[in-house]
Amino acid sequence: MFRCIYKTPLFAANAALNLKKKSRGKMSLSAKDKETVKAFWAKVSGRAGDIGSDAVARMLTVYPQTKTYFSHWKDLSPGSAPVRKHGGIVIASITDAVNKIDDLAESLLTLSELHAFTLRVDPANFKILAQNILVVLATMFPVDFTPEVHMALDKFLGALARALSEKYR
Amino acid sequence: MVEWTDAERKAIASLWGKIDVGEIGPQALARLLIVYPWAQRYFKAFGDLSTNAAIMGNPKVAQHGKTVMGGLENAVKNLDNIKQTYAKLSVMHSEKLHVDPDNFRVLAECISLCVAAKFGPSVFTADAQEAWQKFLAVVVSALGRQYH
Repeated sequence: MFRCIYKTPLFAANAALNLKKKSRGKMSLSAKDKETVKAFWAKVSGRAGDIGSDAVARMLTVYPQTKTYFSHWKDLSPGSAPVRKHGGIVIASITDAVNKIDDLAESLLTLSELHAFTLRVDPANFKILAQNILVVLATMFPVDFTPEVHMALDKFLGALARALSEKYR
Repeated sequence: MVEWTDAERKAIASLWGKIDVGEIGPQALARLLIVYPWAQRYFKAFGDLSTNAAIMGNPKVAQHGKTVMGGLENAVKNLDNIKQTYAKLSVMHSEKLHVDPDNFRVLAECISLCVAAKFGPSVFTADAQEAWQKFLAVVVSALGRQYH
C-alpha cells in the first residue's frame, strides 16, 4: 500500500517554507559566498590596478571582437594608457560592488543605466570580461585562488553581470 | 578549416610541453565538480563527491582528470585536423555518455585557470592565453560536433 506523503499538510508547509528561503533569484550569493569574496578581495585589492589593466588587456587580445567597443582609443595594446585607465575604472567599480555585496541591484542602478542606454555593451561581454578577471587572479594569486574562492567569485561576477543588465530592456 | 598562425602553433606546443597532465588534469576536473556541481551528474560511479575535500582526494576523479587531459595530446599532434581526430569521441560522448556539450566548454575554462595558476603571468601571457583558449575552443567544438 502506498501512502502519499506529499499531500500531507506538514510536508506541503515545509516545502513552501524551503522554497521561500531558497527562491531569491538564480543561484544567489550565500552568506559564505559573500564572506569568501570579501576576504579574497581584501587580499588582492592592493594590486587592483594591475588586475584591472591585465584583465582588459587579455580581453582585447583573447576576444578581439571586444575591440569594437574601443574604436575611439588611440592605442589598444596591453599596457597602453587607455587600457590601464579603463582597467582601473572597471576594477574600482568591482571593488565598490564587493563593498555593497548585500545589495548589488540597488547599488549598480546608475552603472546599469549607463551600460544600457549610453554604452550599449552587449551583456554577453560581461561574461567574457569576468573570465579574464578570473584568469588574471589565477596567475597572480595561484595559492589563494582555491576552488572555493573560484566558485564564490564566479557567482559574484555573474550576479554583477545580471545587476548591470537590469536596465537593458 | 581552422587557421593557425605560426605564433599560435608555437605557443600551443610550448605550453603543452610544460604541462604535466597528471597534475593539471586532476586539478581541472576537481575544479569542474566543485565550481559547477551539477556536472557531478555524470560521475555517480566515482564514489564520494560529497564535499570539496572528498572531490579533491578522490582517486577516480584524479585518474579521469589525467585521462581527459591526456586526450588533448591527440589535438596537439593534429592541430590541422582536430574535427576528424575527435569524431569518434564526440559520438561516444553524445550517444553513450549523454554529456551536455556545455560541460566541455566549462571544463576547458577550468583547465585554462589551472594552467594560468600553474605558470603565472610571465608564461601565460595574453598571447599565450589567446592561443591556448583558441586551441581548447576548437577541441570543444569538435567534441560537440557529432551530437544530433
